[in-house]
Amino acid sequence: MRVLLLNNQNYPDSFYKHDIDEKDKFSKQDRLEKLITFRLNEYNYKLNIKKVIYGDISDVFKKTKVFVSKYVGFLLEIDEKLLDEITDKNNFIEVQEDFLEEKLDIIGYVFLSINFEQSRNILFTQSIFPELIDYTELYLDSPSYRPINKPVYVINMIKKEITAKSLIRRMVLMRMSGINFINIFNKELDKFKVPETFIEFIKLYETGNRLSSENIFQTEYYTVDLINKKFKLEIEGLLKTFIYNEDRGYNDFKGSSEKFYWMEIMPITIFAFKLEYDIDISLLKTFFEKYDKTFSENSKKFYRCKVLYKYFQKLSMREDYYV
Amino acid sequence: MFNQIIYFGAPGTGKSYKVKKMLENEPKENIYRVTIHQEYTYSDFVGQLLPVKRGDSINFEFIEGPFIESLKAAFKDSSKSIFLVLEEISRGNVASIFGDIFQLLDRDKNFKSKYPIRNKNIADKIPELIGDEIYLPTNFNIICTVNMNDQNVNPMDTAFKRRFEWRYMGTSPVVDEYGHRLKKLNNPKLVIRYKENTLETNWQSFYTSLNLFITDKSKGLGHSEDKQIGQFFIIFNEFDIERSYSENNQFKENALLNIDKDIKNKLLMYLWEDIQRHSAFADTTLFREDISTFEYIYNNYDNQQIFSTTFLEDFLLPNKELYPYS
Repeated sequence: MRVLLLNNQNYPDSFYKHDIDEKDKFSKQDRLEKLITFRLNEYNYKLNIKKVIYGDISDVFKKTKVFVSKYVGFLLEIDEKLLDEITDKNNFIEVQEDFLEEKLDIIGYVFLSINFEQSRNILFTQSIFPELIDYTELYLDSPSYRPINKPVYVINMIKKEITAKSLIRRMVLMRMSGINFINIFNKELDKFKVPETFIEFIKLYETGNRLSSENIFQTEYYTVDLINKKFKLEIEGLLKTFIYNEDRGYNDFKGSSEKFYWMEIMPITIFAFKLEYDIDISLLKTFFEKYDKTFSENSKKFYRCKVLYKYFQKLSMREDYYV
Repeated sequence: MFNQIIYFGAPGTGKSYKVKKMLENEPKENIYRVTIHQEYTYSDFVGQLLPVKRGDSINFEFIEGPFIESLKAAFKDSSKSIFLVLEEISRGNVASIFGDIFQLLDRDKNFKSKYPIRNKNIADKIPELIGDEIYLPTNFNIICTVNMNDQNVNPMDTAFKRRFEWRYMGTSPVVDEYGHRLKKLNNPKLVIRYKENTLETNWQSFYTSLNLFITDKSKGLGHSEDKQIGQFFIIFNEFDIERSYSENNQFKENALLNIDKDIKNKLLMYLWEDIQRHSAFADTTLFREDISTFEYIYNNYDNQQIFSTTFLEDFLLPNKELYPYS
């Protein structure tokens, strides 16, 4: 039997803060649970998710390396009888035995968005970062080029209509990189085409950027040579987030601004890689060589930036990575 | 490492052993091993409906073949390298066994299938795939072995062949990582009857002399390389190998008896049926010219000269200590 396990740190409480109405006998939780499972199964008919359950994820997964935030969930395969034994009538897991996780199969990772559009900058971003980077680090040596070892489903919980181009673009970028982005409400967003070539992406989703020639397209994040299939990461976008701080003795990134850089280049780089473009990280390499020792050792932001850099290194080297 | 390989070579050259060594550090649950045979079909490979008894009733259930099982494992966790090992693939009709899956063997720069195919039956078994399109992911490896000289060999078309990396396993005695021959590896003493006497040699020298004779165009049989044999065509008992060189006569005699038995029971039939019988147009023979039955060879191997003088004098004698035991 397949279920969606959500972190009881946030759910189902968060469902009661959603702006969906209660209907007849059905509470907000009931309605959202039904919608989520329905949309997941509609998106991928093979999933066949039967219900949503809740639990302390750190308690459920003691040995399996998983990264947990309040927005996180897992698609699980579990024996129906066992599920009845370990959940109460409200579908909360009570972990009674040490070996429960050995009887569970994770078939996908789920990240839920917040309920309301508070800030466009952090929407969706805060749901999947930094966990996505932590998984990327865990699987750097994997034989696959995917950043994470199982499918990722990002569930857009926002009911209010989304029209902002920046958010539509962010959704498209995620889909381009292989993330399964599911709109629980805003279904009209699904009509936005996921490009299959770089030219298509540029025409549909890149505006106001520099076109240096017919074949070469440049933004502050990347330069792409469409004829020779070369993709180069630029650092202009990263340098904008950079704070030189001689007083403190080390440099830093402004707020969470480096996340927006990564949110932009990670999916586009993966897209370029999938299209068999050669990935050039020379500018990024120079940046890290120059600034590696200038960040605080305790800077998680910089640490995670380096993880992504190593991931791009893997993509740039392709099969030489394993020689 | 990304692998889509066919190891090929003469029988006994250690192809299966090579694959085993290659995968020895991989978890067993990530390896799916199949031995192909003449009756092996696409349904065996992919999956089929078979009757299954549950309690008192019998129902038809879809039983997944090794292809679906291994592909599912690859998609289930992309951090694991999955290996589908197909032994002796030339014994089956690979074009028919692979069917539409053949299209997936073309890999792109990222070692993913270049041309996905629509196959709902397979796609439905893999929840990680959206829709009914399937492909071979980066962590899915296929390793095959081919014995070029099998009697039941099905020819492989070029389209299939070019989608694999072909790695040749030669017949020379095995060397270590520094290029030094492993002198004692599968190298017992052999005593070959020659005229009224005996000729002492060892297995590595003997089989390599045989191989020279098999392919030599002027004095030998002029066959192609696939008729040769490898060092492991016979795997001798390690006690017998060691004791065949013993100072203790009793040990030595017993060991040599066992070695003779191995030669008689495992090698002679191959030499008679696959080598001698296919040499009708050669000027020379492997066995004495006057021998006309296998029965004679088998019954007299350990007490008479059965090999031809040409083979013994021109090929074995000059090379009898080519690869000494120590």
